[in-house]
Amino acid sequence: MNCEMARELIGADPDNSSPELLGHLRSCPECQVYREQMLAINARIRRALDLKLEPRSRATGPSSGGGPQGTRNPVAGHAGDAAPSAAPPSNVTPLRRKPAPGGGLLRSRWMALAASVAGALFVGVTLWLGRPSESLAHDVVVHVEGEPDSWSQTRPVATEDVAAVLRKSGVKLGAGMDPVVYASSCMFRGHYVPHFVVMTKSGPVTVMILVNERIAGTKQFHSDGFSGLLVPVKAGSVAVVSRTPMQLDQPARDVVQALQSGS
Amino acid sequence: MLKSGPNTARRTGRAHSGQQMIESGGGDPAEALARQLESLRPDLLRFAFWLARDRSIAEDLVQETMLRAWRSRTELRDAAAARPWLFTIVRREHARLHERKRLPLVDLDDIVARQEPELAAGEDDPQILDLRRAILTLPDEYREPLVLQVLGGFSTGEIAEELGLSVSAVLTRLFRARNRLRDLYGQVPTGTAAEDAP
Repeated sequence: MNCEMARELIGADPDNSSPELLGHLRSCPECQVYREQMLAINARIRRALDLKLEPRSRATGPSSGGGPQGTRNPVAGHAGDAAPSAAPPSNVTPLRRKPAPGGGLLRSRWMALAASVAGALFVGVTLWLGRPSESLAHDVVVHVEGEPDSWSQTRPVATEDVAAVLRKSGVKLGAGMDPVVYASSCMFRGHYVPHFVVMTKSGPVTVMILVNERIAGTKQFHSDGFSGLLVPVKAGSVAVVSRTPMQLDQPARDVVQALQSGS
Repeated sequence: MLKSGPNTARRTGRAHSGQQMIESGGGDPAEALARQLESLRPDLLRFAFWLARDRSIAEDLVQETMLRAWRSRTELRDAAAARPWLFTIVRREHARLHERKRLPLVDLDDIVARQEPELAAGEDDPQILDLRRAILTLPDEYREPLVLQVLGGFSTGEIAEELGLSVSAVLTRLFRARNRLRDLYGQVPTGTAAEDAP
């Protein structure tokens, strides 16, 4: 084990006490100091995360499960049930409640409200679909910039790891892509999307399968030293990005074909 | 069959209080589970807060989690698995929230300012407060595995499974998260680990 590997392991898990790591630490005072620093910061992180949040009091009505009345802790109020009750603990409030039944006037108001919401939704969706893809390209570049180490990977990622990333986003890929050397499921615009780096003959290329991002047509972009293509696909779009000027048409075609053959 | 995080007890030192309750309580399993759910509520609320970065959303996530857990209680075969099981439900509910609606983009400074009362609760060490603010501004992809590991007691393998990532990707994210915090927070003098250790 070298210092780089040891520090990555320590930074990821300061409590790690694998024999390999301990063996390295015995012969490397610098890494030992680094570990002590990381143990110190980890202890403070643990303390920082341990917020003292008192649950806010919630209105508790009569026990819906038929438990004892006046129970201070409504969850424990089910203690008297002979069998597990089908009703939830009474202090567990569903987030979505059905509206109370009302008369004709109330119903017509609901209809009017629903129509207004549907109209606003239509306008919103139309505007959203029509928004410029420049912002999508910008977000892709910002995301890729945030994972600089992804470009330096050279070893192919195990097939099952790639499959796990794809599975999380419900995406299937057929054959035809260059070897994947980095695979991660990343939060992007509120969704987990597959983020790969594939090793093409011309160098590493980032591929992000943007399942929920629909675009009107293929767009080329250049930003902050990155070049890229956004390509519409059935499920959304695909971003293909490189750090050096290169033709991205072929990698993009490979991804689109792999998506088509996988679906 | 739900799996129990093998490292949970080791890392948190207080992970299985609910399990002890079930074992010592005897009697009605529904009663035992209800007590366990309630005993874990503070942990779940903390976890939900760090995920959602919003107290109100965290409260709703925990409520929804309790409801789902109660409805699905027959799936829980092992009391020791309750804690990781509930953490998983919280995390999925949080993800579902993002799926249901596109949450508005907000300035990180605003997030910190809005949650200042929660961050300051029960803590008067300014350095810890700074660290809380720094954690709150970490990107989701770094904050989530860090919170799962430190607060949830999940191993890197369990986090990888939970997030659908490779173990090496999880290690990288955790490494970057801690290094970011170290950079944001500054170097911590060695020797403070023992005094801060729970």
